[in-house]
Amino acid sequence: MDKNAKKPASNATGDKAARAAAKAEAKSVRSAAAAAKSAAKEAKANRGYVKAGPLLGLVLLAAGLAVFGIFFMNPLLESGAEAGLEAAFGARATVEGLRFRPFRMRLSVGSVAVADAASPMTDLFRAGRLEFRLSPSAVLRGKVYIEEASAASVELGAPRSTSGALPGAAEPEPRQKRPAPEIPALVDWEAFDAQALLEREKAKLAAPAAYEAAGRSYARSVEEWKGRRETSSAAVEKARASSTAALAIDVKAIRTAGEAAQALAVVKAAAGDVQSVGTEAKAVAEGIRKDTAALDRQAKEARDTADRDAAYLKSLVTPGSGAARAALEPALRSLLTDKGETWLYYGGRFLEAASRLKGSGGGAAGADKAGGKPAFRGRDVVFPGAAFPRFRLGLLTSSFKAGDSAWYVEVREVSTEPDLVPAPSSLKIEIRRGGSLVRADARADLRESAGGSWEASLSAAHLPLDLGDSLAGAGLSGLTGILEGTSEVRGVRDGGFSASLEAEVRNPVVAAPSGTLGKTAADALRDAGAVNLTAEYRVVPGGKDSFVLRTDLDRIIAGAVDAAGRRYAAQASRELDAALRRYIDGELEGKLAPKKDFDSLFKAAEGDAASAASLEKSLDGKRAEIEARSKALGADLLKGVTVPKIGP
Amino acid sequence: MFLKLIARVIVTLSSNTNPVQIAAGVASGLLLALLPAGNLLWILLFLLLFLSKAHYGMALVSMAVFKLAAPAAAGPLDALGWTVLNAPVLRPAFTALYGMPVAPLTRFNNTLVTGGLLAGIVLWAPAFLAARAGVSAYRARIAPRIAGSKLVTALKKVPLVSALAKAVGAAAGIAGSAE
Repeated sequence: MDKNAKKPASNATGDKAARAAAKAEAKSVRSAAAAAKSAAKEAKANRGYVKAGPLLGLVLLAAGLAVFGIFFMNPLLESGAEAGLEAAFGARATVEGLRFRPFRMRLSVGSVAVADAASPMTDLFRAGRLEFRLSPSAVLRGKVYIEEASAASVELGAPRSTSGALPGAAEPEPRQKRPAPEIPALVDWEAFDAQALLEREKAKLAAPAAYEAAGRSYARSVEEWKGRRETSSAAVEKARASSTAALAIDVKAIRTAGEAAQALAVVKAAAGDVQSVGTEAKAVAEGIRKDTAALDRQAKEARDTADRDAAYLKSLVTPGSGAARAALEPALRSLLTDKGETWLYYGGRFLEAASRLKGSGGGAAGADKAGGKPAFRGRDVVFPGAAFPRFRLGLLTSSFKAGDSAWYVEVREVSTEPDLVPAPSSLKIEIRRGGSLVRADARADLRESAGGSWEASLSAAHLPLDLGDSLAGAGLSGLTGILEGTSEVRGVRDGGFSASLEAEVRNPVVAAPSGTLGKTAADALRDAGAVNLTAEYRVVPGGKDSFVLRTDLDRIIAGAVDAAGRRYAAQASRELDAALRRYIDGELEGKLAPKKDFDSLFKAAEGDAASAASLEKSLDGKRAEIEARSKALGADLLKGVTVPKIGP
Repeated sequence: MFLKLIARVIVTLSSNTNPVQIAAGVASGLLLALLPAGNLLWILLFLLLFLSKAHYGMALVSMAVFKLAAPAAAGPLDALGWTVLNAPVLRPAFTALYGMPVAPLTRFNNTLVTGGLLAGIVLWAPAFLAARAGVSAYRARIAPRIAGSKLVTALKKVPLVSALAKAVGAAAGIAGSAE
C-alpha cells in the first residue's frame, strides 16, 4: 500500500472531528479536574475552626500595639492625667515627664501644676517630682488605686505666666478683698475733748436717725388728718349755722298743734344734720388720739436711743467697759479671719475637687446611676463586694524645705466613691520653723452616711506673732508676742461652718505705744506676761456671720488704769454727757417740731367733736320743749269732751 | 468601597463558601451588634470571631446592619440586664465575679452589656439556623431565578447596577484566581 496515497475526503473530515471532540473532552476533563482541585482546596480550607492567617495577623497586631505603647503610652497617659485634673479642678493642668512602668506598677511624674479656677493667674498648687505606686490588683479590675505616692515639693498659690482658665470657662468672680477694719481710737484722757469725741462718733450714734424718724411720723400724721379735720370742722360750722333757726324757735309762741308739728319737723331735720356731722368729728378726734399714742411711743424711743448713745459714748472713756475689746476686736477679727480664710480657701478648693471626683464615680452599691431612667449606655450595678473605687489615692506624702521652713504634707484617701473607702479623706500639714510648729489636720468625710461633713484642727506652738500696725489705732503699734493656741473648725457640705479658737499670746510687747491708754496698756500687758483670747466664728449660708471674741485685755487694762483712770473717766463722762445733751437739745429735739402741729390738730379735732356734741344736746332740748308744748296744746283741746263708754 | 463590600457579599452568597461559615458570621455579627463595644468582653468575642472560620466579611456586614437597630433595642436590653444583675439568686455569683481580677474589665455589671450578651447568645442559634437555611435557599432557588429574570436584565442597564455587576465580576475573578 502506498503510504503517500491520498486518503478519501470523508475520512479526513471524520478524523478532524474526532480530534476536536477528543480535544474538547480533554479540556472538559482538565476543567473538571481544576474545579475538583479547587473544591478540594476550598474543602481543605474549610476544615477546622481556626484560621492560621488571622492568628498570625493578630500576633503582628499585638506586637504593633506593644511598640506603640512603648513610644506613645506615656504621652497619652500624660494627656489623660491632664484632662482628669482639669475636670477635677476646673482649670488648666500641666503634667510633665510622666513615665509609667507597667511591669513594676510604678508611675513617676516630673512636675504637676494645676491653676486656680477662681484666680487663673495663680496656681492652686504645684508639685515637684512625684512617685506613685499602683495596686496591680486594682488595675486588673479596671480601677486606679494609688497605694502610695510621694511629692518632692508642694507649693500653693504660686503666680503663673499665662492664664490657667480653661477655654470657654466663665470669667471667675474676683475674690472680695475684705476692707480694712475701722478701729475706734481709744481716748487719750490727758488731752480729752468731749465735743471732739462726740463729733468723731456722731456717725455711729443711733439717736439722730430715731429723732428723724419720729419727726417724719408726726409730720405724716398731720398731713394725713389735716384735710379730714378741716372738712369736719367746716361741716360742724355749717351745721351750727343751719341749726340757728331751729334753736331760735320760741316754743311759747306756738299756739296750735299744726305749728307745733311744723316746729318739731324743723328741729328734727337740724338734729339729723348735726348728728351725722358730730359722728364724723368724733371719729376724727378718736383717730388722732390713737395715732397720738403710737407717735408718743416713737418719740420716747428716740429719747431712749439718745440715752443709749450717751451710755456708749461714756463707755469709751470708762475703763473696764469693754472699750478696749471693742477697739481691738475688729483688728483681731480681721487678722484671724484673713489668716483663717486663706486656709479655708485652699481647704474649700480641695473639698470642691474631692466632691467633683466623687461626682464622677459610679455611685453607691446597688445604686441606679442613671436615676431610674434607662440610658442608652446602660446602668452600672455596683456590687457590695467591690473593694476598689474607680479612683483611689491611698496616701500622698511630701516632705520638703521652703525657705527656712520645713514642710510635711500628707493626703489620705481621696476617691471617686468615698463609700467604698474605709476612712474619710484627710489632709495633714506641719510647718516647722526654728522652734515653732504649726500643725493643721483636716478631715472631709464625703461618705453618704456622714452627710459630707468636714472638720479641721489647727495648732500653733511657739509661733512668733507680730501684729505690726494692726492695732496702731488703739495706741498699740508694734504688738509682738509668742502665740500658743488651738483652733477647731467644723463644717458641712452646704458651706456653713463654725470655728473656735483658744489662744495665749505670751510675752506681749508693744514697741511703740501711744496715748494715755496705749502707754498704760503696754505696761499692763508687759507686766501681765500673757493675754488669753478665745474666739468663735460662725458662718451660716444665706445668714448673718457671727464673731465673738473674749479676751482678758479689758481686765488687764482696767486693772492697770483703775486708780488714775476712774478720776479721768468721771470728769470725761460728765463733759461728754453735757456735750451730748447740748447736741440733743440743739439739733435733735428740733426734728420733733411737727409734734406741735399734731398736738394742735388733735385739740382742734376734739373741739370740733365737743362743739358738735353741744349743738346736738341743744337741739335735743329744743325738741323736748316742742314736744312738751304739743302735748299741752292737745290736752287743752280735749277739755270738756265726754268720751263715750264702750262695751256692755 | 461600599459597592465592593456588597459585591463580596453577593459573591460569597453565590460561591462555594460553606453556608455554615456564612451563617456563623451573620449570627456572630448579631451578637457583637447587641453588645456595647469598648469592654474586654466585646474585644474577646471579636477576637474569637477573627480567629474562627465564621465568615468575617459577613459578620461585619451583619454587625453593621444590626448595629443600626441596636438603639431601638436598648430599652428592652437594659431592662433584661437590670433584671438579671439584680436577681437575688445570681447576686452572690455576680458579687464574687465583681471581686475577681480582670472580670470587671468585661463591664458585665453594665445592664446593656449583660442584656446584650444574653440576648445575643439566645438569638445566636436561631439567627444561625435562619441564615444557613437562607443561604441554601438562595443558592438553590433564588439566585438562578434572579439571574434569569427580566427585571435583572433591565436593571443591568442601570449604571449603578452595571457598576455593581462589574464589581461582582471582578470579585469573582479575584476569588477564581485565588482558587
